[in-house]
Amino acid sequence: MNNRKFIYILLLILSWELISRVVGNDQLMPTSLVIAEKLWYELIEGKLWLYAFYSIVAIFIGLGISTILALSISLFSIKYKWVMDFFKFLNSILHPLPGIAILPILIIWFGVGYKAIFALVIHSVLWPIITNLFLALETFPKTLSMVGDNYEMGLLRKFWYIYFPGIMPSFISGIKTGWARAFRAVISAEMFFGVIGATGGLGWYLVKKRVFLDTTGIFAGLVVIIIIGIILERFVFNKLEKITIEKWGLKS
Amino acid sequence: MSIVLKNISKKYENKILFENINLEIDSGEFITIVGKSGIGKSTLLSIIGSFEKVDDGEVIFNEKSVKKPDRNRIIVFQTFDQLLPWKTVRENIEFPLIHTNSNGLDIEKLLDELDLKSVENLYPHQLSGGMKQRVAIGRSIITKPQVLLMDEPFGSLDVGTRQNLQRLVLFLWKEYNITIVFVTHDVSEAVLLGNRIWILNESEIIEIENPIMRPRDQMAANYQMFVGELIKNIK
Ligand SMILES: Nc1ncnc2c1ncn2[C@@H]1O[C@H](COP(=O)(O)OP(=O)(O)OP(=O)(O)O)[C@@H](O)[C@H]1O
Ligand SMILES: [Mg+2]
Repeated sequence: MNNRKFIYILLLILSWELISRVVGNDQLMPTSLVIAEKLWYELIEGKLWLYAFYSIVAIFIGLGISTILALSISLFSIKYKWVMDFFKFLNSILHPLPGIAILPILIIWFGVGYKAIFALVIHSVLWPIITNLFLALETFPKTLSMVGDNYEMGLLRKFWYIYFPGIMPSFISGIKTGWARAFRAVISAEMFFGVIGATGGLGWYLVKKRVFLDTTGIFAGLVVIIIIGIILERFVFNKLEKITIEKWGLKS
Repeated sequence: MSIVLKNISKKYENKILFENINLEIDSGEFITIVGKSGIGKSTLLSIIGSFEKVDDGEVIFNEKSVKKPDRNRIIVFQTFDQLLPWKTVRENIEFPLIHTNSNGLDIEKLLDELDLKSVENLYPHQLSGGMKQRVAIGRSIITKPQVLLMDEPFGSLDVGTRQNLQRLVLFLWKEYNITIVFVTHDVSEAVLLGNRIWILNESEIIEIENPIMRPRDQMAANYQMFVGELIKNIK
């Protein structure tokens, strides 16, 4: 983190402190110290980390399934042109559909539980990944594919050793976009669902805190959501993206 | 006899490229192909490598009719995107060894001959055009293929680099006893490299033995006269 960002954060906390003191009502706007204390308490005693863990695990399982789906679709798209055409068509219809909008039908199909969550994540993640992968496949150098043919590699080998690494940078940006969509969708869905598994996820945590008018608890939850977002976005996906883009020499 | 093209016909949509052509390539030959742009040089090379299907006729390689590319007829392109961007120079050259389970040539010796030792750990985007083509050539011969098919491999290089690589290809051709079919639009390059030259014209393919003795001196009068004669035959 550079110095300027550090100063911004200090400024933000300072103004928060100032305004919350003027407001003078912890039910509306608790002071930063109160939030910090509460955050610590919730993480340890309130098992907030467990809620966060549930949300993240749900997203990552969904990401994993979507990855397998997207790669299989890509594999068949290389072999059969119509597969790509078909999924492009499907993509153009389903990609714009917000995840939360399909939640009611997912609940009817899968019930309230992890199945519906996974389906939601898959919908959020699959289309951005597919969009990116198709774009990469369409501009994939013919010469590289011919190198595979030259050494008599079968489709699977060619995919694993040539196409997949070749489209890796696009794959990672797809995952990055998909992850952001999935994170939002999952937290909204959890607000709907209540307890699933042992505790439920971050969305459910926020709803519970609202029910008990625990404003400070809500802010503690929001802080956790922000931190998770920042860590994954900046320190995981951006890092991965940067490594591939640099190594692949795609930086223009 | 290494490769025989028997009664080959090839057309795209309504454009007829080849009609009933017969060509032979002996093992150890260095054939250069010239002709004006769009005449079908790359297509012919792709047919020789079985990358391009034919409408009629067959390609016979080592006495067998072949329909698919194989590891004994390796193609090298002009474009730089033929290298795997995520692999280093050394890894790019070793790539075919892993996928053919063969021992191939001694990679250290090859890296030396290609003058790539000092850049062996760099990635393709960190290399100059000439280095990239040397990597592509290294990769193409590491498995000791019988035939090398080269499609204007030096087409995007400057004159100096080009001369270096011409020398390199001649050296490798002799050293490893490969059959080379080399497409170029530079007639002087065709005369420098080939024992035989194929001129592709609209309705015919002219085959000419190269009369100039090696080592060839591009400044010599007979060399330049021969180049001039060939240019007159390109229609
Ligand atoms: N896949 C294709 N579909 C239709 N036409 C094609 C295809 N590939 C090549 N052609 C046509 O066939 C002709 C020969 O192409 P080819 O690439 O073999 O020419 P070339 O002699 O290598 O030209 P250059 O010197 O410009 O590389 C051209 O007219 C080209 O437009
Ligand atoms: Mg060509």
